[in-house]
Amino acid sequence: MFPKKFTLFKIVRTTIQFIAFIILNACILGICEEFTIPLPILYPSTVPTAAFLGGFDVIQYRISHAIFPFITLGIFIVIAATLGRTFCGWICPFGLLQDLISYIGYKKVTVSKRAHNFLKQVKYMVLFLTILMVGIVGVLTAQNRGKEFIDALGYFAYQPFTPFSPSETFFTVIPKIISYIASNPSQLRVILDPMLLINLIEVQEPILIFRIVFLGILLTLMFFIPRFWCRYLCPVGALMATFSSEHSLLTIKRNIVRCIECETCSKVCPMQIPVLKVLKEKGKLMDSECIKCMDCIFACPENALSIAVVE
Amino acid sequence: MMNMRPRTLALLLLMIGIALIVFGIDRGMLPQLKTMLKHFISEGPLGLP
Repeated sequence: MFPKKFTLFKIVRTTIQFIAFIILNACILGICEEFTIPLPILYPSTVPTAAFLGGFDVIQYRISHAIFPFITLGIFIVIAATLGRTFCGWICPFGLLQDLISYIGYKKVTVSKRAHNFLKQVKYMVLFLTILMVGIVGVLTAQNRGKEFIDALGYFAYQPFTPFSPSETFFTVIPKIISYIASNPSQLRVILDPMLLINLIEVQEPILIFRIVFLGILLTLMFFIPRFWCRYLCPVGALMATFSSEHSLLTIKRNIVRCIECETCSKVCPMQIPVLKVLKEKGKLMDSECIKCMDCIFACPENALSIAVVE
Repeated sequence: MMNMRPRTLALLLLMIGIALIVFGIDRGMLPQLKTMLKHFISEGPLGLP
């Protein structure tokens, strides 16, 4: 179905994503520097081997403690202005997970245009609600008021999004549960006995059950809709899209002479961007949803697309 | 603002970002990030008993 070079390109991109994943967990190799930097990716800072911070965790934590996250926002803006959402396509471990799932040969579903346009706004709502909540907590903290309100919020006071983060569930919570069961083999009977399992669910934190169910639903959706999380729900993607808008320095341009308007670029786009339509209208792929995965470039049978610096 | 060329706007954003980073470093926020990472790792994920 796809040209050979496209398949080879997917292997190269996946390899780079794996290398990035190892670098993000550099502590596993014993390389832990004295300082770290936050990155615009959905990777939990609670992973014991993490050498970098998940930028959104830092933003939530800082604002809710009434401290402006200068460095984190600065890094987000610099990356958004130069590379756009490239980190979503090439570095983010949760993006890698979604890509790996989408490579499994299920028939992909194309979301209707109306539903797609509505759903892609949801991530901005997730971002807005998170910032609103940490903003309120931050103001209360700064004024030393509302302690009861903050206590009542519990988990959600300082990092309201993190308990919903499927990335943290996948990369931290599930490995911790597996390691707990592995170190206590007697716990295995819980899996085999439904009554014990129900009792366990009742006594455990309800958020834990919610997390696992939510991750399960998302993983199922990712089989049919590539990059479902990035497209519709990711607040980090929403923040990067807000900063880069349509104006990142790195963009994709079309050679009008070579292009035969076969729409292959639009069909392979994991973010369901109407690539050809945008290119025809604007001359360059100036779309805040573009994660610069470059699938369109390598899928083009006429080599009509290429990376360019915006003018 | 809206009439700016995309490259000008991107460069303006870039300068704002660099200014924020420099200001953050100047206020001594860089070493705090390592402390924050250690804090997150030791706290573990929220909601896990």
